[in-house]
Amino acid sequence: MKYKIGIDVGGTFTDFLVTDSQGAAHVYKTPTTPQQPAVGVVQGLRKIAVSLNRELSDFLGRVSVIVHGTTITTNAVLTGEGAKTAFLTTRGFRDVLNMRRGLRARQYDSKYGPPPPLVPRARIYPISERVNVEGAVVTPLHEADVMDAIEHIRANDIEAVAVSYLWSFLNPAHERRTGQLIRDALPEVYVSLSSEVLPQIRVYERHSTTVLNATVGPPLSRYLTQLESQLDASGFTGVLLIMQSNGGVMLPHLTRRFAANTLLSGPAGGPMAGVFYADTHALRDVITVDMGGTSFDACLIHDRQPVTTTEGEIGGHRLALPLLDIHTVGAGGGSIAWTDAGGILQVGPKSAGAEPGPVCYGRGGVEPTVTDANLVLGYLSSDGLLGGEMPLDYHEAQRAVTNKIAEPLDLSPIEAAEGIYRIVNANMAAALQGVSVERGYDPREFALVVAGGAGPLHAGMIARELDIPLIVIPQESSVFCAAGMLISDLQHDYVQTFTQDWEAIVPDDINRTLSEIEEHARATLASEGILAEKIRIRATFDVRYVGQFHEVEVPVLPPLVASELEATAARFHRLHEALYGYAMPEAPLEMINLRVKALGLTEKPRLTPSPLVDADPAVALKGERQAYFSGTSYQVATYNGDQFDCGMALAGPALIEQANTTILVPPGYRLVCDAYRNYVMHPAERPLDEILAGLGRRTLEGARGKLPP
Amino acid sequence: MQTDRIDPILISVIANRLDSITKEMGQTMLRTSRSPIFSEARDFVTAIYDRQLRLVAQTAYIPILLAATPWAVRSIAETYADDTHEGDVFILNDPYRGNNHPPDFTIAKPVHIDGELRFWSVTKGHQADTGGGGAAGYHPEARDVWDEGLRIPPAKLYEQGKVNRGLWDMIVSNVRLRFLVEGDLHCLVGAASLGERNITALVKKHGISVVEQVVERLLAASERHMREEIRAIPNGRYLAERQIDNDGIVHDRPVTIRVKVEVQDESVMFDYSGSDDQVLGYVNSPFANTASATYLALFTLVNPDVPHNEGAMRPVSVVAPSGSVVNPVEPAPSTACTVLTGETITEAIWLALSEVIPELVQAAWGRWCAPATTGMNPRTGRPFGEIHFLSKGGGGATAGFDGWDHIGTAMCLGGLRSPDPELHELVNPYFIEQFEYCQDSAGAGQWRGGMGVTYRWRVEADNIACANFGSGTQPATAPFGLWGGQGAPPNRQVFHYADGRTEESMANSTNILSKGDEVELFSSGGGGFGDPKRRAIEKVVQDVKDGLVSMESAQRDYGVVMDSTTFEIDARKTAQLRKGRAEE
Repeated sequence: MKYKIGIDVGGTFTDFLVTDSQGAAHVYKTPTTPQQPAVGVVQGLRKIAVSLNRELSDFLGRVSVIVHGTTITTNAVLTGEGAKTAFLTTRGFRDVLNMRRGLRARQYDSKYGPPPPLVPRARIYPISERVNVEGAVVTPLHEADVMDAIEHIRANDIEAVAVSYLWSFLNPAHERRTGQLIRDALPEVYVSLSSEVLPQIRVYERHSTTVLNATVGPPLSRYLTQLESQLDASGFTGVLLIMQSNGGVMLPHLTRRFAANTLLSGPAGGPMAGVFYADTHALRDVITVDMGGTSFDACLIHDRQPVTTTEGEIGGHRLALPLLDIHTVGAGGGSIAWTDAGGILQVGPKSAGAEPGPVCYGRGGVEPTVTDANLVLGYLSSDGLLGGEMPLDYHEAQRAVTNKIAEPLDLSPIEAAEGIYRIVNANMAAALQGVSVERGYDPREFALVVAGGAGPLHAGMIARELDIPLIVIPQESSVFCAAGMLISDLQHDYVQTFTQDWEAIVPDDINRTLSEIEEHARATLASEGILAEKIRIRATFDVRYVGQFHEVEVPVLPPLVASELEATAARFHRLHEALYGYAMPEAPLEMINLRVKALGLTEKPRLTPSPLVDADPAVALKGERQAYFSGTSYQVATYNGDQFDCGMALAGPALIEQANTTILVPPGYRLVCDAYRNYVMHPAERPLDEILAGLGRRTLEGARGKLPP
Repeated sequence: MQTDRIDPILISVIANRLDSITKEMGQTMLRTSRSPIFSEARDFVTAIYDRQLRLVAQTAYIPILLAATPWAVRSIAETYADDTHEGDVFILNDPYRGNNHPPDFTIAKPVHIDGELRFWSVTKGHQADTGGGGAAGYHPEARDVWDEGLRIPPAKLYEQGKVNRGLWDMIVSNVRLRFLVEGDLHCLVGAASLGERNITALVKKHGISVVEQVVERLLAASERHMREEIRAIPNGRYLAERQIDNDGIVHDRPVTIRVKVEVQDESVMFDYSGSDDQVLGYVNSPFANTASATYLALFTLVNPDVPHNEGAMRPVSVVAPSGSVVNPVEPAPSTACTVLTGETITEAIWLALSEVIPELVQAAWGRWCAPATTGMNPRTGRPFGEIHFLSKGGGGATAGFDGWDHIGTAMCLGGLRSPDPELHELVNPYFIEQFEYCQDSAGAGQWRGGMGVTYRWRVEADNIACANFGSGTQPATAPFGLWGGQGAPPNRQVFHYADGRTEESMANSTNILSKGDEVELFSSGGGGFGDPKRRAIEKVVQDVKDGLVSMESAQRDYGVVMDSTTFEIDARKTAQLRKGRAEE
């Protein structure tokens, strides 16, 4: 028996999803050990070994792959506990990093300050050197400036150095020489060069990304070293892969160099998991949503590819690397309901978080939250979460909803609670509209894959708001991200700025650059043990109308020849039309960047479907309770999710209770438990087969859950 | 109108949606615009009006556009009262027909639902060029509205879905940067159409009667909210005056704005009656702009959650005598009003209220002073037009917070994104020599002003028209400090010509730049707030280490003495210098 493990270190729990070579999957959880996360990881592995009746070393010896997601780098930036970093940049341009393009997000709010600088000005060293717009050296590198900086770095116990000069993506010689001088003089110091991290036009975005990489490099390296040695010592001989923000994975030695690639990797497993669960129904277009205590994440997946962006931000600092485009809004179970000074009911973005949490947790929360509303409406049981370990106080919840919302607005408590429920649903629906309609996609052609403790209570209503016809609720949505990691491929994204008027493009110049990048990419993947036939290379151009300031990423099929150039231009006009509502086919174009995405395909776990039984869900019936929908009271049956079997179906209204979540089947919806024990929910008036067919199901076989290769 | 009790939950849902529609329109504009002033500086506004021509929701990326649309929309709707059809798109830029100033084109699309006019979807943005004699729309020597460029009265750019080709051609034939203006017209119309689509979908979903009742309730709620905020300001009359350096025509005479703020319980009046008569040059502020600058100042003093709609504006009145610099009559030129006159109005309001609500006002921000340039770039073979936003100055300090660095004129309140230096060099024939914070450019204070910058560039082409527009180049017009905080040094612009001449230029003048010339700008930081000798010593030390504040200023202004190499504090001297500081 061989195993693969996905491990997601979250704020509270470390989640493990173990799949075996016979197609079974098991879920484990251990408390996260924030000071030394590697300890929690090994503890969890030990727990798994015990449950499989094996010695740890015997078990780990059978594990071929561990895919690991870590938030070490994210936390380092958010808490300001990254490495002490120095920054070397072109003389005369010392403050571009800390100016952050001179923006203040909350324009009318004078009572707040900018985020603390990534590097204080005193540790930003101006270096005499300058390359111009054509890549020519105007001022040669003044090495004495670099040597002076090195002395300061040595004297001040600086752990990491970032170097980013103007136009270095056109001519990286000065950066490379600077890097060499630093590495020679200070071999222990972590060095991050913009020409390696992000050779791309736009100074602030490049600076910030390069500096973030330096700041998080040392803590990530330390952590990975610790983890690798503990795994080694415990008998692990397989491959360790690290989750990246772009939805791909990388080997540890590359992750250390490009540490910034992990900065937004926390939620990146989610969309990949969406692909995983969508595959079980042969769906190619889905939107994943994850609703937890404080926030709601949504990501659109088109043709099994999650949408990506280069407009990331962390702690107020720009991260311009490609990453999964996960849209986050402040809507969760802990979101606080309040009335504004004009007397209008609002929900969020402020959250009661985990401490004190909703009023019904009885830990001192006094502001009514979404969870309190759900309890008042009967969607949650006062027996509470975690299988009764944590009872919920119905009366306190009702009192808070009544005093703070119902009375000021002259509503009944039920009306007020339902108002909270509707508003938070509308906010989440608006977020989904943002990731779909606003980007030219029709949500009615997508299925919703739902995760997070609070998600399954709201999914039906959000879907109804947008006419989304199908909802997939994974049985174990609590290890959603860990599941996504297991199907991620190795992925490296490359960018090279190549500014050129479209008519002036010489295809062979581009082909040369493309093949250089491709060669480098293939060598990198080979160093990660990927065979040539498992490598996939995809190229795109960032194109715009001359004079525009935003580019559209357009797929291109190399090698570039005149006809492909023409076809690419046509694709650009079409995409521009689809995204922004107009195209100007006569207007001149310019190219800004060329991008290459190199994938090393990994072997995916195959789950074995269970036979569908034609059984009555009454065996899982637990009881019933009063719940409210659109102002009407219903006696709603409640079910024990653990006793739900594959093939069982029921009609709403109904509530299915599980340890970490409750699934609400609203009136008018039907729910089925599929061959993998996941739930599928849809409007009862439309047969499931018809919906699946409508969503572009490719083959009947696919619908039985075969994972595509 | 029905008076049935309307579901209060629907009010939230629909109000949030109206707001998000204007944001989506703005996002579309950001992504599709052509000129740097649209896409980088974000100089535009999106709005929804109801059929009674009340501003229902808006997103003003640049706050000086807060009230730039109401008079324009009214003018369009009245001009075409019996002639408004589905698919029409209106355009307007004439400041004497309701617009704020000529470069900001207003686009208004009526939203017909089931054949009836119900709403208006409105966009407005600053064009890269509007013809006339200046550079990128700014013409310091303009003597009337015709000198400033194209004048478009309320007109149909599209009639029932069909483009009015003659008018379109007419507009783009009269501007220098046709390819940019044409793209931005598409962008304005596209965003207005997106708004129309989304408003229609919203109405179809909830029914027109519900949506109209919600609008009524929403405006009433915003009015209530604003009245409550105003009630927090003590009743009284508060006076102040501020000046613009000059009007571009008469260089030795400053232009004075006087404001009387009269707070009476839940309403407030801003009376500009004592201000100068309208002037010869381009700083005259049409009423829409005067109102915008007024709302801008007010909205910084109240809870940022107050929506920016017609309801919130009900308790506010603005008095500006016709024929004055704050409400000129035809044909006075006006292009510089959104910056120069707007800044002066806003500063005057903050200053007037600084005694009565010191904890809410801000010290003055660095004023705008930099060139707009236009010409041909030989490297790209294309014309270019550029407003030099890299010179943005610092923000004013406020009780409890330092001003923000390099955040730009107060007319944008931090919404003006600095251009990217590389994209700037890619498009324009310029080589940037220096662009970084300028030491001691901010006003000292317990809360220090934000930093201004030094910005120098070398010109790499001939025959570039340069319009230097701005103010704050005099001690009297430089940013003021408040409550013991110091003012910031004035703006400066210096031209080092290739032939060896060096000239410190006056604000609001023109010149021609040639290859090899160098332009050097020093922008003011913000004014300080509170006695600098009360500033935390460790903050002063950090500022000195960072090179933002000089050792001399630390000693002279902040009363902090330290070793010039180790930065170690001389506690005795420091205590002595700080002895006389103001009490809390």
